[in-house]
Amino acid sequence: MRLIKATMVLAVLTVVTARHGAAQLPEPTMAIGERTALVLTDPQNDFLSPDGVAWGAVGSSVEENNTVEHLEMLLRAAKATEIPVFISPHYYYPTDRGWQFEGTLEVLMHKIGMFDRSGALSVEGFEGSGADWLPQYKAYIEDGHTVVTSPHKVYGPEANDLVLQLRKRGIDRVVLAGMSANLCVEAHLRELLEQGFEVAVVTDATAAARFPGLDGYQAAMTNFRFIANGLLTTEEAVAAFHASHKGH
Amino acid sequence: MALPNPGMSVDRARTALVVTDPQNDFLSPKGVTWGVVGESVTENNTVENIDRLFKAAKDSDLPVFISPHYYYPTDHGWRAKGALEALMHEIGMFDRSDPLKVEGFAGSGADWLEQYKSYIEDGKTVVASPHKVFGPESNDLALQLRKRGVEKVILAGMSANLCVEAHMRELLEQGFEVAVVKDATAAAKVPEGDGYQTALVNFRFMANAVWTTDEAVQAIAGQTVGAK
Repeated sequence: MRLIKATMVLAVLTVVTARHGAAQLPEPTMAIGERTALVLTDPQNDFLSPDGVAWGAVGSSVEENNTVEHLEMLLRAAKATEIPVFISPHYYYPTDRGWQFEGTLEVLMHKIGMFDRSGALSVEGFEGSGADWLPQYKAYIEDGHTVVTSPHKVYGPEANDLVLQLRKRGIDRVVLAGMSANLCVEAHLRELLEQGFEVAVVTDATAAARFPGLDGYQAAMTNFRFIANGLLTTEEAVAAFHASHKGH
Repeated sequence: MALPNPGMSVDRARTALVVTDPQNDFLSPKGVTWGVVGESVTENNTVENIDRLFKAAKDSDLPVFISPHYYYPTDHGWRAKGALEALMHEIGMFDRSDPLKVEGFAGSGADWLEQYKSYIEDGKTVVASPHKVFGPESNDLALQLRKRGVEKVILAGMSANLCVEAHMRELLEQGFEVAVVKDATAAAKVPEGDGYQTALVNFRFMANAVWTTDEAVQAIAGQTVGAK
């Protein structure tokens, strides 16, 4: 019985290989249009501005992918085609310094003061800070339509209201982009999949940290390919938004 | 910018071993994924290393939790799947005949690897309900850990960048500390990417500690590992 199954695997892989050249993995695709939203994680200065505290680790990847411009293209296209936009931001408050344990990147983020705000109900010093939106995105995010969820506190949306906000609007397909690829973007991809959403990731509208021997962007690309419902370039996502809007 | 090394101490009253998918379809040469994961399982000596973790935990009375992966016939009615989900369903991975039937289960791809059965079936190991994608979001693992006062998890099993990484990520989000045992896991290698190398990057970025099986066994036995 097991042998028969193993043979079936080979048969499946052979068929897929014949169809897609070297590829062994299925290539699911996600329809874009009805019930679809654009979700961006952390479009904030600390990741995307050369003045941000993480630029030393992520800057080269942000520049290579042209991430800043690509995120703006996604925002512009979504707004032009009435695709709802959701932002899942990352903020730390002074009380978060009371955490007794953190993983490696959490330790680093807290050490460098990444995404720090002065309080949950205070915007003192917020304007233009590392936690604020990149200035060129403000027109899109502050248009009165974009949904800004409460902050995620580790990497994923488990502790914020993103999933609720999507469901309250009947969204079940997400086009996902933002920062950073193998941390918050991948955490959002994984949690949204677990919650039953379909997710396509925009692979050049994100970027990640690099440390010696550890390339966060390459890691994310493998996992996106393994687990997402689709991979898109920014150009493809923009075209899909516009195609879905025809006839409206 | 250098990466910190948070480390994790093992407080035996609050620490557990969690193993994902210690099942034939991943770990047996007869399993349906052996063609893509076998090389990595062999390189890491994964089967033996998981066995050593089970043995060390049982010898030290450290609680053990299993988060298994099962699909039922109704799961084949899913409309949307990611690439690996599509592949798993195509090859019949972890298929069971029914949520309430074990007909054909013994020795199947969904069953435990034979050599782990004495640890898992000792009446003490907690077997959570199945996860249905990759992470423990839809099963009772976090609840079972909390019900026993567990706050720190030593994590191993299959496969590194899918279910192990998904469990690491969700447990971190749920406020647990997690040490991943990097050679008591393995992953698929396909032209699209090396799942194991990918997992190593993310373990290093996110976990509280990344240990070898040797280090984990020492930590379970009460010796200090990975200074802060």
